[in-house]
Amino acid sequence: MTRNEFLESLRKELSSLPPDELEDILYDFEEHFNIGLEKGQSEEEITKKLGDPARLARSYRAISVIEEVNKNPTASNIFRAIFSVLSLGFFNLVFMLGPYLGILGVLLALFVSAIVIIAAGIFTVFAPFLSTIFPDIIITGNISAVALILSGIGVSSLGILLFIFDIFIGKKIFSGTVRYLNWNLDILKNGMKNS
Amino acid sequence: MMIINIQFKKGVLELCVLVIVSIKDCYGYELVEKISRHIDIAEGTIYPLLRRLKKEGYLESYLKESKEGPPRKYYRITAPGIKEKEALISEWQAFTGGVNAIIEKGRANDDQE
Repeated sequence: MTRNEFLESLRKELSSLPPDELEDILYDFEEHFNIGLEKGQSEEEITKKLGDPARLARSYRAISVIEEVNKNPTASNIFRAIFSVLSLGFFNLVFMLGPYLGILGVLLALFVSAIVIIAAGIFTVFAPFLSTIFPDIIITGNISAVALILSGIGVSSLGILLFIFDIFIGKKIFSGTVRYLNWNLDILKNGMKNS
Repeated sequence: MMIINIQFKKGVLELCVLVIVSIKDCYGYELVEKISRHIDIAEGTIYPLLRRLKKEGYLESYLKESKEGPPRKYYRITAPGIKEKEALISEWQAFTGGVNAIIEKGRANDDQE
């Protein structure tokens, strides 16, 4: 591989990084080539000793993405970080991914049930009025309108409580994920993936 | 075994970089040369490591003119970097001390037989 092939490959692999960061990274390697050539090595020798640019790029992407998560922990950043760390071949993440998606599924189900309970409460509140409009469909029987409205408000409140609880759980999962990724970064510290 | 070997080497790399830079400010190529003289590594690995150490505040970089060509990027160790270096050294010494003790015991056992 020539100097240009190496640098171009690195540039291509790192095109998702901010431009100034990319230039800073490439500067290091340009400098490395310049000094190596001065010392009489060939481009071929230098690139061979540097190693696979795609692998180096993976290390850089993981560093950059995890830094971004720490600064700005949004859901999309977390997912980018997960996949970036995955690409480094951390098996514990692969094993964790299934259960993790399961937990997210449970969280989604909790949110859906909270919303459904809130909706059911609201419906109950309006049931007395609806039954006057659609007497054949909405049948309130002997239950008084006041009882329906009060129980509706009660059910909705329960739903809102559940919703607040879900948000709490969601936040826990979120911060747990960030901590878990940082833990992986610590592993990364001790093992920049390369041959 | 091979995987353990690779991981092992990389873990030590951070320690090596911090020790070398703490002796004297270095540019990347210099560091690579000093390390690969003793340990067999993919030389490119040093650069992402330098970047991470810099982001973690263990190293700082600055540009310095050179006689030949464009200015070079030098790395210098920071106060937190020195602390980290000391922590890694004692971790390393405790570890190698333990391994040596086990090896010695094994040898003593062999001699008896």
